[in-house]
Formats: sequence, C-alpha cells, structure tokens
Amino acid sequence: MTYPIFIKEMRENVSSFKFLVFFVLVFLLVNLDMMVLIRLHKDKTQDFDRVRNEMTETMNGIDIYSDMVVKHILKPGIFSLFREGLDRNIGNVYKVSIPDIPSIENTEKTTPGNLFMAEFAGLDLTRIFILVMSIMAIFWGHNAVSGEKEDRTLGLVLSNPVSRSVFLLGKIAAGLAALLIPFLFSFITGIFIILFSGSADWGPTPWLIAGTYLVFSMLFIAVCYFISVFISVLTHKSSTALLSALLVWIVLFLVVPNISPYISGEIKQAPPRQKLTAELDNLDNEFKKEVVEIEKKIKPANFIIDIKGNFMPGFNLFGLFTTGVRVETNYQPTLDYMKEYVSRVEPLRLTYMDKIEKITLDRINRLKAHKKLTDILSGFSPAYLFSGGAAALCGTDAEAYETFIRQFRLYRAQLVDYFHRNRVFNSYDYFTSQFSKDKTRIIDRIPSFKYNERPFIERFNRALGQWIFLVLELIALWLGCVVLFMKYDPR
Amino acid sequence: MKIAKKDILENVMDFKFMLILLLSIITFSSSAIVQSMRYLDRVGSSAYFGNNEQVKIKEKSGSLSALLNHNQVVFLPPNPLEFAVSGNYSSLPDRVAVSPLQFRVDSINVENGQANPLGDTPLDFDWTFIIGIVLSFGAIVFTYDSISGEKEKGTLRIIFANTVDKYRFLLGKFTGSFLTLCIPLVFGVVINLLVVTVYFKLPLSPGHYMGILIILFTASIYLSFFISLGLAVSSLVDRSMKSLAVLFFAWVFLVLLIPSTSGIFGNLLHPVMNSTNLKQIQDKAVQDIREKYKETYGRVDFSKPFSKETILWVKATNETIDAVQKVKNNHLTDLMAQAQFARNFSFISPFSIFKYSTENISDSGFPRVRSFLKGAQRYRQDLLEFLIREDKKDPQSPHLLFSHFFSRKPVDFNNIPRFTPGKSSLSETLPRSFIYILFLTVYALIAFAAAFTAIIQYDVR
Repeated sequence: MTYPIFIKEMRENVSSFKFLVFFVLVFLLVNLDMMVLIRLHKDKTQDFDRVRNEMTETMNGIDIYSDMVVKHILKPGIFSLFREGLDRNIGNVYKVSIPDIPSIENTEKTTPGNLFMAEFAGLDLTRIFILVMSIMAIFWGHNAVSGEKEDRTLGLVLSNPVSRSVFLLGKIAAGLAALLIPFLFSFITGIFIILFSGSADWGPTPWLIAGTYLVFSMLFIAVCYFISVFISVLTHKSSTALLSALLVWIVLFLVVPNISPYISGEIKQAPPRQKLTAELDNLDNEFKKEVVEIEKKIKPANFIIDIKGNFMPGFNLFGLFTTGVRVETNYQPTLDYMKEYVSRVEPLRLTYMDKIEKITLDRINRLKAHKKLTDILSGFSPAYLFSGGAAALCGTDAEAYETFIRQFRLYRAQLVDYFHRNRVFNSYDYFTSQFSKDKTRIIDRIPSFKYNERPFIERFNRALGQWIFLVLELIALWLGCVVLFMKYDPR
Repeated sequence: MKIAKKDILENVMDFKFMLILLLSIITFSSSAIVQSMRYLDRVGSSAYFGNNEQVKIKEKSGSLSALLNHNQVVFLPPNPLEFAVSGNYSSLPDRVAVSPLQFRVDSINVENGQANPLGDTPLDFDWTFIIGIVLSFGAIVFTYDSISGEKEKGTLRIIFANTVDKYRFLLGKFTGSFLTLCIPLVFGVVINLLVVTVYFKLPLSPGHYMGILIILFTASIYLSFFISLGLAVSSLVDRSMKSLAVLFFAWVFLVLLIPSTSGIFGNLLHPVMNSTNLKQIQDKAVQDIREKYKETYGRVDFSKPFSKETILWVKATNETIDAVQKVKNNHLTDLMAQAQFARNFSFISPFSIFKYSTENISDSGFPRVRSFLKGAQRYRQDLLEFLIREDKKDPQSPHLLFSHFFSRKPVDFNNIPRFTPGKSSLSETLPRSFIYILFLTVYALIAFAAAFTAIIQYDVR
C-alpha cells in the first residue's frame, strides 16, 4: 500500500513549480561554485608546486647547521572544495628549526587568497547544501500532514483501509525522494566537473570519501526534512507549520551556530594573542640578558667580531627566535669565541624553546577547549553537525592539522636529539662551512621527515560523533512523527 | 489611523509578536555584551602592539640608517561604533608593515579573543545581523497574512464595503506593521545601548550617537522594504500560506543567498592573479632592471660610498624595490577591485545595501580598511621624505637610499612622523552612505508601489 501513495506523492512533488525552481537553483549554484572552486584549487596547486621547488632548493643550499630550517608543505586537498574548514584560516607551510616549534599558529600560506573578500564566506559545497537543501526540506515537509488536513483529503485517505503508519511512510519517502533528486543530480555533475577538470588524482580513497560524504549529506537532508514533517504533524494549519518551521530554521541554522562561538568565548575565553606575545617578549628579554652574561664570561663586552665585513657587538642582538649565525673567517680568536659562544648559548636557547613549547601548547589546548564548548552548545544544530562531520571526512578539521603537527613536532625532537648526539653545538659546522669534513649536504645528514598520512578510517572515526548525533536526531524525529500522527485528529 | 491601531493591537496580542520581541531582546542584549568585550579586547591589543612599535622606533632613532631599514607595523585602531556595526573586522586586514622603502599588507587580524583559528569564523553578531536577518524576518511574519488573511477570514469584503478606500487601508496596514516592528527594535536598541554605555562605558561621542540615529533611520527604511514586500505579496495571492512561502523564498534569496554567493561571481567574473603569476611578474621586473644595470649589478664596494659604481648600484637596488612594490601595489588594487565588484554584484540584495550603508555611516568594514591602507601608503611617503630631509643635514652622508650609505646620525624621536589613521567625521561618512540610503529608499518605494498596485487590483471576493 505504501508504494501507490509513494508514486502519487512523487508525481505531485516532481511536477510542482517549486520543484523546478529548487532544481534549477541547486544545479546552478553547485556547478557554478564548483567551476570557481576548481579554478582556485588549480591556483593553489600551481603555488604549491612553485613553493615546494623553492623550498627544496633553499634546503639543499644549507651548508651550516645554524641556517637549518626544515620546511614541509601540505598539498592542497581536493576535498576542501566539499568543505573548506580550516583551510581558510590556517596556512600550509610548516617549519622546524631550533627556534621554530610547529604549531597551528606558526604557518605560512602559499596562496593567501583575497583578504578583502572575507565578508563573502567561502561557499563550499557543504555550505550550499546547508543553505539550499535545508530550506527546500522545509518547503517540502511543512504541509505533509497539516496540508492534507487543510485540503480535507486526510480524513478521506484515512477512511480507506490504509494504516496511518503506511500513509506516513509513503508520504515521507516520496518527499525525501523528491528532495534527493536535485541534490543527487547536482552532486554527480559536480563530481564530473572535478573529474574532467583533471585537477585531482582520483583513486579509490577519494571515491570512498565522496561516497561517504554523499551518504552523510543525505542523512543531513533527511534530518532537515523530518524536522519539517514533525512540525507539520504537531500543527493543524500548514501556515502555522511553515511559520514554526521557519523560526526553528532561523534558530537552528543561523542563530545557534553563529552565537555559540561568542558565548563559549565568554565562558572559556581563549587567552588573547597579546598575552602570548607579551609572554614570548618576556622570555626573549630574559634570554638576551642571559646571553649578555655568557658573553661577558667568554670575552670582554666590547669584543668585536667580523662577520663577512659587518661589525657587530655581540650576538645577543639576534634574540631568542633568530639563529642563522655565519662566521666565515680564518681569524682563530673569533672562531674560538664563536665555538664557545654557540656551545653555551644554543643549549640555553633550547631550554627556552621548551618553555615556549609549553606556552604554545597551553594556548592551543585552550583554543581546543573553546572549540569543544562551541561544539557542545551547537551540538543540536543539524547544520553545525553536518559541517563538522564533513570537515572531518574531507580532512579539513582541526584534528587533521593536529595529526600532522604532532608528527612534525616529534620530528623536531628527533632533530634536537641528532644535534645533541653529534655534538653539533660544539662544532665549527654550526656557524662556518669552511672546516666541514663531511661533504654531504646538511639536509642529507639530518633525519628526514616523512608525513605518515592517516588512513580514511580515521577520518571516518572523527566524523562518527556527528553521524551518531544526526542518526539519533533522525530516529527521535521519526518516532515523534509516528507517535504524534497516531494521535492526529484528521477532522 | 484606526486600521493601524487595530492592526497594532492585533499584532501585539499575537504569539508571534512575543516571539520576535523576545528574540530581539535576547539578541540585542547578548550582542551588546559580546561586542563590548571584543571592543575592549581590541583596544587593549591595539595599545599593547602600538606601544611595542613605538619602543622599537625609539630604539632605532639612534641612527637614521636604522630607521631607513626599519619595518614598522601600523595598526587600524578599533572604532567604538563596532558594537553596532562590526564590518567584518575580524577577517579584514587591520595592520600593515611600513618601511620607508616598502609597503606590505602584513596579516589578517587574529588578535580578537573570539577569533578561534580552530573554528569557522561566525557571522558578525551585531546590529546589522539582528536587524538585517532577525527583524527583517519579523517584518515578513507580521505582514504575510495582512491582506490575504483578511480575505480568508472574509473581513476584507466588510472593510471595503465601508467608506475605507484601498489606499488608506494599505497605509494603515503598513503603519500598523511598521510600528509593531518598531517595538522590538526600540526595546532591543535601548537595552543594547544601556549595556554598552552604562555597564561597559564605551567612549561614545555625540557624533557616534548621531551615527546611531542615522543607522536606525536606515534600518527603518530597510524594514519598510520588507513590510511593503510582505503587503505586496499578501495582496498578490489569495492564501496566506502561499504568501508566506513566497515571502520566505524571497527573503532567503535577498538576505542570505545573494550576499553569500556574490563572492562566487566576484571570483568568476573578476578573477585576480595567483601568487605564482605574481611572482613571475615580480621576477621579470627584477630581471629587467638587472639587465639594465648589468655592468654594476651585484658589484659594490662598501668602502667606497662616493664612487660612481656605488651610486649606480644603489640606483639599481632602489629601482628594483620600486618595481617590486609597484607590482605588489597593482595586485593590491586588483584585490580590492575584486572585492568591490562582488559588493556591487550584491547590490540586488537590500540586506547588502543596508550593510554597506551602516558600514559607511559608522566608518567601519571594507571602506575603512581601504582608506586605512591609503593612509598607510601616504605615511610611508611622509616617513621617507622626513628621512631624506634629515639625511641631507648630515654632510658626511653619501645621501644614497641604502642603509650603508645613509646618515648614521641620531634623530629626535619626537620629530619622527607618527601614523595617525584618519578619523572620518559624520559630515564625511554621511555623503558616502547617501547613495546606499538612496538605493534602499528606491527599493522600499518600489515595494510599496507594488503593494499599492496589487491592492488596487485585488479581488476582495
């Protein structure tokens, strides 16, 4: 019995004017957006290739340890087209050196984008679906039951030998199918545009991600639709149902996700950047003072060193965050001074960097706590759950970056260990290349870094929380619809 | 008048009025708290970084040569009216690196307490958000059944059977809905202002209060548009349900869809160069200069500052810096043109026009950043001219624009030009916003004319 109801409803839905309007709207928006995003993605890839070559060239040219900075660049992922996530805020070039600790806030962007376009929020595929499909779901579901009652057809239908649950199932299935047609059509054409643009290596994992994203989006659309049907079953007039659904939409889709970061900001305030800068400045000053003391112990304060023709009264001027000391001279007292200086100052710098790492991690943890509270406050908004889960699937969530940063931070620890084991701070090679016995490049001597990209299942697991919440919302709404409809007065 | 009075009474007694009123009070009061705290954070941050910069300049004032090389970061100070109109300040550049020889848009603002890089940047939770989104939706809620609802109930025929003409009826309905909507607006604004001025004591001058009044005037025109649109649609259709559906679709299209998709069209129709192409052009400019000065390029004897070779070398270096700067400036202009294009594109949306007009009135957002960048570029020029003047006073200096060949004499710290971002008075910002207010008025008049035409032709049976 469900099937005839489904077919009748489907026919009505698909032949309606609103279906045509939404179909064209979704199709145009998704495909136009895809074209723009692919062009921007190609720009990013071009910039990525250039910067990677420049970086390799620079790193190959390093001939003293004090110049050593290891950079790693993350390749732009095609799935940021689906969900931009943190790609917008965070850079893709990370560096490791004695004074550089990898962190989410210590990055560079190869493609900075247009800063002045910030007011036009990055409209990725997820945002389009959130905006258009949720509204479409409201228009489809609000009169599912109350509309039938208003038209006086509900009483007639239920007077036939058709059970209420079968009727509701047929109605909901047809509405959902009508919603999914424009979505699936636009999504598939969007994937075709990506494939034909040749801007991505499309292997099995991307198919898996795209497939999971598709199912996840359908789940989101279903939740939006069920919210609307639930309100329809709650009310007896379709205008009341529509009005209530719209208010719920404004609250769940606009107010909650946009206000909760501010509320959580007041409850769990992340320390302002100026506090971090002040702490770093203080450590820098303390370090400089200690270096002055070290210099006094080694040689008189007015000792002058010749660095490639420049005259400089001591190295303390460089401060905590700058190494890059080069002394190419044969003058033995200068070389001895430098060796002594480096062997005392650089281990001191490392102890200071440990303090900085602690401060940085503390700030990141507080930012995470702020984000977690925002997640909790917005947890019942389907839009927020969908965008969070999509970011995890597309590898643009905070955890994806953190996974990389953790590995890169471990690599820094390996480098520091290498420096200690090979007594780099006690060798001339730290500041001059003229006595180096090892003819291999520095970059080949030190441990190398290989990013161990996590498998798809980890992305899926990160999105699991959002999946579960959406499924629970769906079940609760479905049960609510059934229970209310059983008691619904069709007269 | 009687129709308006009756309409207000009916609306005020309705549940939806209470809902809009509650929503308005909650959003306006929480916005006041959030925005005031953010403003105070920004003031603290701006003062801290500003003082740091001054300390650095003082250190460098020991030598003109050091000042010539110094990269100073200049800041755009927060504007007290940001509590009402934030103007996307958390995403727009608010600092630039200025050295006498170069100018660079340094970074985006990440100093705000709430700007968590781990999360999405939320929409500005200010008056523009509340009036532009929440209250405009309220306008639709109050008007969608104004005409079609009366028809459905059968009261419209009775009204027109009396001596009430359609024009007066429409005007009464408009006034009724408008005044009803003014109640949550005024309540919300008063609470917001009380929190901002009495509790947080934000430094608001009479000029700021005048600006607030003009923002409210603009808001009333903006809300009039949606009220008229609601009445027009309600007169065009015979069922209030249909009217609500059409109005909501129009609202989503005008308030949400166009403003957010304008970026796509900006990128599509006004593309800008990517970093790699920009780098290639810069490299080409540098290469051309190297070619021009191939005899001297890279060959300089620092011990001979007055030699012909040195003079030529410095000339080549300065030309290179200027050429790279020119490419960067052109790119910056291009980026701003792209943003302006996207803004112009979103002119179809009354929400965007309302937003741009409030940004101009309160001197915030993109227009402010644009004039800040122009001011910073002028400051760079002033600083350079000052250093050249001071250098000329030193007879021992080779007077070449390169730190090695520039005077090393100290300079009085108090005489060094300071960057003062231009503060636009209301007399300057008002003409700028006039065009937007005019556009908004035209939109509102068109919507009212549509409502008038629709009701004249309306079949009351």
